[in-house]
Amino acid sequence: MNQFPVFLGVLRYEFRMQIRRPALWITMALFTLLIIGIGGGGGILRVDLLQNAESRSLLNLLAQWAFRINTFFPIAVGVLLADRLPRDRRTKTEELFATAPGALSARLLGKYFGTMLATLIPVLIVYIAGVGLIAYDAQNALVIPLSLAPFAVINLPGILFVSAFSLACTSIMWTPLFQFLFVGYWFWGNLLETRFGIPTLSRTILTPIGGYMASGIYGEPFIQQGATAMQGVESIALLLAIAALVMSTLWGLLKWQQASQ
Amino acid sequence: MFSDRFWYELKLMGKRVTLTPILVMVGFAAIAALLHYLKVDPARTLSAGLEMILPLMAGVVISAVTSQDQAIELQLTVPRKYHLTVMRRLAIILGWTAIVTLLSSIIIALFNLGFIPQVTPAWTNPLPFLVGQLTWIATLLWYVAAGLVLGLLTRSRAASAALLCGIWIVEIVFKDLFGISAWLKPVFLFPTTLFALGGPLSQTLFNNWLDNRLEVLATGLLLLPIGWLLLLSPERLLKGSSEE
Repeated sequence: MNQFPVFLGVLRYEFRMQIRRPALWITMALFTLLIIGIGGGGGILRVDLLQNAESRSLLNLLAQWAFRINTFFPIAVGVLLADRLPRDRRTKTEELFATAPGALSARLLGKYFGTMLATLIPVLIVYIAGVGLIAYDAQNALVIPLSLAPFAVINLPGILFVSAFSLACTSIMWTPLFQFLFVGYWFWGNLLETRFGIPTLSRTILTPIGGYMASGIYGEPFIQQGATAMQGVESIALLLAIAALVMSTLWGLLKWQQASQ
Repeated sequence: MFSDRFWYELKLMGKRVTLTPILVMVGFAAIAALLHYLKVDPARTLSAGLEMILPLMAGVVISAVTSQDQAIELQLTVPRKYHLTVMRRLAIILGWTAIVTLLSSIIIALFNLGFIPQVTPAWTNPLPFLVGQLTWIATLLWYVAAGLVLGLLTRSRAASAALLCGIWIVEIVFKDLFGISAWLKPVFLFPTTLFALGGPLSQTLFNNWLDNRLEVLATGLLLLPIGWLLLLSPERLLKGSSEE
C-alpha cells in the first residue's frame, strides 16, 4: 500500500486537531503577553527590534528577533506536543490504529509534522508582528518576504529538534516529568553561561536556540561571537540529523512495543 | 478515616508523584558530585535544585492533577465535596515536596554546601538556617498555587504546564528587569540563585531579600483562594477536559 496518502491524511488531521485546540491559542497568547509585558515593558524588545536600526543591516535585526522568539517559544512547542502520543493511549485509539492499513511510520511522521506545523502557526504570527514593526520603522515592505528565510534557518531546525524529543520522550516518560525536565534542559543546554564551569551544551553547535545560525549565517554580532557561516550550517545539519535519529528510534520503539503486546 | 483517605489519594496519584522529587534531588546530588570532581563549587547548583527545580516540578504536577479528573462526573455526585478532595491532593503534593526539600536542605547544610543569605554580623544558630529556608518555601508555595489556578483556568494539562514553564524561563532571561522593577518584586521567584545571594550580605541587601521572600509568599497565598473559588463551580469543572 502506498503510504504517502496515509501520511498526508494523518498530517492534515493532526494539524486540524492541534490548530483547533483552545490550549494552543491560550498558551501562545499568554506566553506572548508575558514576554511583551515584561520584556517589552522593560524596553528589551524595543532594543531587539528598533535600537540602532539605521546602523545595522535589516538581516541583523531580523536574525536577532528570530533568536529572541527562539529563546522562549520552543518551550511552549515542546510542552504542547508532549501529550500527543500519550493522548492516543489515553483515548484508547492506539490499538485501533494498529489494525488500520496505514503503516506506523506514516502515522508517526504525519503526527510529527501535523502537530508541529500547527503549533508553529502562532509562533509565526508573533514573529511576523515583530517583523511588521521592523518594516514600519525601516519604511521598507520588502522586509516581510525577507524575514521568512531567518525564520526557516534560525527557528525551524530547533523546533524540529524539540518536537522530535517531545514525541519520543513521552512514549517512555510521564508527561509532567518530561515537561519540567525539558524546560530545565532548555536553560542548561542553551542559556547557561560557560563561565560558571558547569559542563553544558550551551555555546556548542548542538544548541536548538539557534545562536550559531543567527551569528554565523546572518552576522548578528552579539549572540555567538566568532561563529562562522559553516558552523551555522553544521548546527542546522546536526539538529536535523538528531531529530531524524530520534524519530527513527521512536518508530523502532513503538514497533517493538506493538510486537511485544 | 482521615488516614484512609490520605493513603487512598496517595495510591491514586501513583508512585511517580512521590518518587519524582526524590529522583530530582538524587540527580542534583550526582551533578554536585560531578562538579566537586571538576573542582567547581556545587553550592549554587544545589540551591537551584531547591529554589528553581523542585517548585517548578510541584507546580507542573499540581496543574496535571487538578486540571483534569477522569472521574469528575462521579466526583461531583458524591457527598464529599470535590474542592476538598482537590485541596487534599494539593496538600499531599505540597507537603511531600516540602519534606523532600527540607531534608535535602539539611543534608546540603551538613555537607557545608548551604547557599543561604546571611546577615552580617551573623545571627546565632539555628535562626539563619530557618530564615534561609524561605529561599524555597516561598517559591514552592507560589508555584503550587499558580499550578492550581492555571490548571483550573485553562482546564488543560499542556497549557498550564507550558505557562508555568514560560514563567520560569522568563524569570531567568529577564532576571535583571525583575531585580530592578518594583512592580515585579512580589513575583521575583528565584533571587537567591540567580543573583548569587548565598553567604553574608549587608543588612540592606538582606532586608531586600527578606521583603521579596515575604512578598512572594503573600502573592502565593493570595492565589490559593482564587483556586478555591474556581473549584466551587461545577459547570467550569465539567467543561474543557473533553477538548484535550
